[in-house]
Amino acid sequence: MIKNQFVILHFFVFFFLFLTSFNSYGDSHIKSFITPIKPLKKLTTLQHNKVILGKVLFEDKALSKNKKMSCASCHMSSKGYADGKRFSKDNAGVNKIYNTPSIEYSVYNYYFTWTGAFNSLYEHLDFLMKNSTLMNRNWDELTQQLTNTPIYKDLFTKAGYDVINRLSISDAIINFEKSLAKPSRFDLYLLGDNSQLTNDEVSGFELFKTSGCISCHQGINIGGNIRQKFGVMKSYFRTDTTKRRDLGFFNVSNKDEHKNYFRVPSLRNVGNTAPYFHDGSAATLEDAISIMYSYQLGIEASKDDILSIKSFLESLEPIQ
Amino acid sequence: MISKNNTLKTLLLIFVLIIPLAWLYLQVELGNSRKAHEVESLLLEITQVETELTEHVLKSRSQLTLHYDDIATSQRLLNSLIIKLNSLLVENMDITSKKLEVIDSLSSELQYSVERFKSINGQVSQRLRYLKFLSNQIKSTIDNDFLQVKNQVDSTTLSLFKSRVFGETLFSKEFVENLEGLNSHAEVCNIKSHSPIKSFILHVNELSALENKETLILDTIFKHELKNEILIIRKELINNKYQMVMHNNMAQIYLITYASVLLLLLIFFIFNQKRIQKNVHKHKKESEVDHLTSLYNRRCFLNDLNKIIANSNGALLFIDLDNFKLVNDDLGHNAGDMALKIVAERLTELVEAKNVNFSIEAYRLGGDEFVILVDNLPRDYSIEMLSDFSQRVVNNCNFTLAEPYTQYQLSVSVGIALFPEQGINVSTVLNCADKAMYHSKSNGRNQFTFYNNISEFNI
Repeated sequence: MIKNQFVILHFFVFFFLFLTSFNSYGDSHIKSFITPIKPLKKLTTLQHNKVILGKVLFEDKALSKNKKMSCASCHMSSKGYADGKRFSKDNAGVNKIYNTPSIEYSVYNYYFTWTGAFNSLYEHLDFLMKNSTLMNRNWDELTQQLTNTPIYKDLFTKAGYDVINRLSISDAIINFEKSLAKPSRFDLYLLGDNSQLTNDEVSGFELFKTSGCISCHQGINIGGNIRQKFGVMKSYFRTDTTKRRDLGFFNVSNKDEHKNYFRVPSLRNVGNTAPYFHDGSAATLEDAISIMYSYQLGIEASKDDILSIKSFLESLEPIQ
Repeated sequence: MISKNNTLKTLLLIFVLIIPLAWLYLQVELGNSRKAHEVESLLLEITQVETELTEHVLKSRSQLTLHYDDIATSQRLLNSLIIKLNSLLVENMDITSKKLEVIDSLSSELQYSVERFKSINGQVSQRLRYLKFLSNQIKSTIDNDFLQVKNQVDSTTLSLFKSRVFGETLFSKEFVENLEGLNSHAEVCNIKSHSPIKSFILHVNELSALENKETLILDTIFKHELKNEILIIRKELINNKYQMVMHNNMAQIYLITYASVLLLLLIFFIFNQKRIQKNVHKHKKESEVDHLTSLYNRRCFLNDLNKIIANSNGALLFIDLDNFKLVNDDLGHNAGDMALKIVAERLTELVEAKNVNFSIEAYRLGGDEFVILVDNLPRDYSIEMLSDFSQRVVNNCNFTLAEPYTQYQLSVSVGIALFPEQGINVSTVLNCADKAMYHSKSNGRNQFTFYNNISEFNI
């Protein structure tokens, strides 16, 4: 009899253990099901030598025509691959039209630039290289120059490119950009490690979901895959001071329904990429959150709400 | 043996000529079918991606979880496939390149409506979340006296979510009543929850408007022509396979070159054949004719005799010039040749006169020896007929040379052998005729002798 009871007890213990294990698994599973945000994992398939070459190219000022500008001039690694200014200066020292967006997680975007005019990094890179206010280069010239530089010859060979041309240069730079995307504490939280986020951050995430921010800032990149009107609930731009840049995607498509439509930016590492919005009109994260609340959600946010959301957003900083 | 060799050679020639054609055909056919297959599989892939895209759109529509990442992935795939199709079709195939523009514009239309769907769907989902937020606000601020309001807000929110997830119609009777009730209660209830209720109603209305918009866009996405168009193009691809072969520029160049080479060869062959035939004819004639007298020569005579001697009645008139050696020696070769010519002419005259009822032909055997071959003697012929003819030969060939050699009188001696009486062997018959001719000579020349007669003498 005693032996029998022992067996039954064992059975129950194991059943309980089984249930709990299932529960912990199911918990993260359900979380990722309900949450339209998918965790980001570091890309491990990148080739080291290509990334190194891409980094050298990214930081080389000789890529521009006047030799005073590199990609890193506006996308500084210390500022979350933006430059912390409201508007960056172009190669003539004049302010650019749009605020420089961070490119740290651009690999996971579907749209590039503020208006979302590009769908592929390759084409966008082509646009930046040929742009007369930026790098101002044509590819033949650049290819010739790099071929005549002995260091690059070695680097390209090491990276596994047979020839130096538009394709290999772009590919190396894109590989470097891919290597920038690193997971944050929040990703680990999504993967099931509940200890990664503090209580404030978790409640901030809950608020982020319930107040509707997540309708646009979703997906693996927390944004970057749709276009949305700036000012859904009420118009953000005053009619008397509206500039051409405020028309957004209209500038590209010339369709009235695209007026004030912008790409929804990724919120990853948003804490380090102030100022915010296409015109850099929000100097701090708090400003940006309150503007988003009132114009996109139609809610006048309280100070607590803003701080709560901010604490969540700051958990999106990449782990070093 | 010879004919077998010839057929083998012709077969080989045909085989060699056909090989490049077959190779060309196969190459073109293979290349085209490969290309067509590539295009077809690409088109298939596009339809697949399009289906996935609409699937993701539907999911986003009916679930509260957003699937924009999946949609974006499908969009990206569609873009890259269209670019691939572009590059593949630009190379050749002018039939489908017209259709390509249609696919291009259709796919960009699709992308456009999907993008619109995404932004409107985002707004809808945000409104839904905001309405939930508002209902919580209303519930927390309203007095306990207005339990009905709480219920109405709850059921409205619930039906909104239900319509989203289960696709139920939004404006049921109950839903409209609830909204009206809420509206009337908003005036009565306390000030604190007055504005939330108002904005709740406003946003419900706005949400329904947005959902209508969304449904319209969904319709355009689902009733999209891209799939049908691709189906049509795939059908055309199969139908136009033959035309594609002809439209292939490389194939055309190859075919024309090959055909022209073949034609040239053919023309060359025909002309060569004619020339060779002509030559053969000429050579044959030359080999059978004696140059000096234009009579048939010894070889021709032997051939003819061989042919007829076994199965025909005939006679051989062996003719030898009398005193020819004398003429030749005294007057020289030229005069001798002239004498020979004159004899030949007279013989030819005789032959061409054809006033006898048997066929005759004259030959020059060589030197001053001539032969007349008599063939097809009638069955009931008489020796008299032959002797009459021979007399004519002798008479005809009796002449004086022209000025200044009139002192030279020329005549012939003729020996006649009959076959098959004297034998059916060429040499025997010739021998007999020869003997008969010598008999004529020894008898005083300028006469003819039948071999039959001398044999009687001899016996």
